[in-house]
Amino acid sequence: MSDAIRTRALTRDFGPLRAVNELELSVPAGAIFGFLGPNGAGKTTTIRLLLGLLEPSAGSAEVLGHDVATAADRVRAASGALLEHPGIYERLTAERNLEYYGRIYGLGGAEIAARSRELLQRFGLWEQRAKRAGEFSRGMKQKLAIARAMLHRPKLLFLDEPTSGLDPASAAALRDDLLALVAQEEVTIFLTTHNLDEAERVCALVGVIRAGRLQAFGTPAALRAQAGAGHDGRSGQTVEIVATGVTEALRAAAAARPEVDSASVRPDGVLELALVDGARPAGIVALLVAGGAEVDEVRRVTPSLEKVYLELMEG
Amino acid sequence: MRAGDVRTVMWKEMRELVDTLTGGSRTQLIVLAFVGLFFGVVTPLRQGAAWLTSGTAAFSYAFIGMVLLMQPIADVFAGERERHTLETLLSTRLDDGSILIGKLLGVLAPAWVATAFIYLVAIVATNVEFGDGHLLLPPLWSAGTTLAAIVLVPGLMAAIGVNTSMRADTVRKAAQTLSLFVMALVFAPLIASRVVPHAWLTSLLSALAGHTPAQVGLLVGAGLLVLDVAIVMVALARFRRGRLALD
Repeated sequence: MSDAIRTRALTRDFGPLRAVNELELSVPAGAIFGFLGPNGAGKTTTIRLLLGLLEPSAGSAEVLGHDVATAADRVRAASGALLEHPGIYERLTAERNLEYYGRIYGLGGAEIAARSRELLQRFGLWEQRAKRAGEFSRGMKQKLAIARAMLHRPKLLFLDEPTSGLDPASAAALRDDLLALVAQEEVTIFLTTHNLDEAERVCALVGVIRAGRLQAFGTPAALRAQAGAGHDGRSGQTVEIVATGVTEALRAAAAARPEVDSASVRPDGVLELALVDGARPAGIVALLVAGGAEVDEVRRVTPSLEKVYLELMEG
Repeated sequence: MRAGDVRTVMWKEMRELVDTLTGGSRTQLIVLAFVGLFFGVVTPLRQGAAWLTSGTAAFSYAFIGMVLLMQPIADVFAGERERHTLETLLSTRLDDGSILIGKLLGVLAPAWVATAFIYLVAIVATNVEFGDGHLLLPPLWSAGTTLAAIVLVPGLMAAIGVNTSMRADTVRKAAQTLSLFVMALVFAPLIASRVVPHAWLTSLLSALAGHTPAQVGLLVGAGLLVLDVAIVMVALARFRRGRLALD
């Protein structure tokens, strides 16, 4: 599968501030890529660079096969964007907003009408199509902006915080729409979000950026596995054992076993074990039972993307 | 620059203007009605049939165009920036020239049409009041000069205005800067008459005296046209997506 986005040491300075620092990204076509990072990390600057709105200070970027430094117009022609703000013309009706962007992308009148109807119905705005967008709620404007970005069936969608301002039901519906869009039309989506649960649900790949520098890149599963690795760098897993009668002697005995990196009893009484890679907890359970403890439940703990993110932010 | 893209941007500018005039705030409609009534009916009736042949008419109708343009031209970029629609527009496939010229013509064309309509109303009003059964029409040189003034003087203001609007943070700042330019334009002849040596002015007036009004009009029109185009070219050269998106 070819890359929809590929950057090589992409860098952008604003005076003494390095907003994007030697960014290396490869986003395959047809994937949803989640770009995570705190405010001011460089996410929006990266989108601006990829759309050719800003020129890089160093490095290069290729989007949909076009070098953004020399063919930004082609990148923009094949992309749709929902940027930091919805960018909706509030004096125009919802329908006119879509008509304007349809004309910009060279769609015919009938095509604009049909596609507008399809998208406005999908986002529940069809009944409000003749209302001025200025009368819309923030969530409705956001939906209209997403419809506008999708109107011309772009090959690549840049969505900057698309679910901000949406109610939970609309946000969930949008996530489903994005997944459907990728499945049906093979669109590549470059999505920035603060919602880690959202990234975990929809993104095939995620990148975490901090202070302009890419901290991590990979599938959510790979990043979680990376977070589960021990401090010595060995990969491993965490197991929780819910049991009664776990004494300090039993905890120490468990900790001393070769397959255990560390063992601790949490305030809620749960025994938390960090196991070395590939180890199974059966031997430890047997040890506990033999020592007089009553084991109710044994569960493997998968680190969430949130944990990965927070670890990366703590640096 | 593509003609179709220019038309698309013009369409949106005019659509917004129509939607603003027909709904919500009616301020611009009231200003238009007042200006239309004053220069289309009241002034010609007070001045009599001579209004159609006076050189003052050209200045008056050029002034109308400038008044009608003041707010919309300040708004073209600064307004979009203020309302956070500019970056989205810049992220589309439209090229710089199409955006700039589309916006310029999108606000100029309605001002031209409205001013020409007021001029037409003035001709009709003069005929109704002073025609006495005959058709009173302005001489060709007068009509030509007035129409050229209607197009070129607001064109100059729009060219300056679009440069101002591109760099202003807010519409208010753009309008303030633009009004300084307008004042400079209005007072330029007065200031020139005080600053330029008397001998130069005398020789200029005597040089012009040797020409017909049509020739003088043509000369001034050509100068204005060159100036308009030059200032638009400056705006095109200053059009930087990155700077516009970040400002």
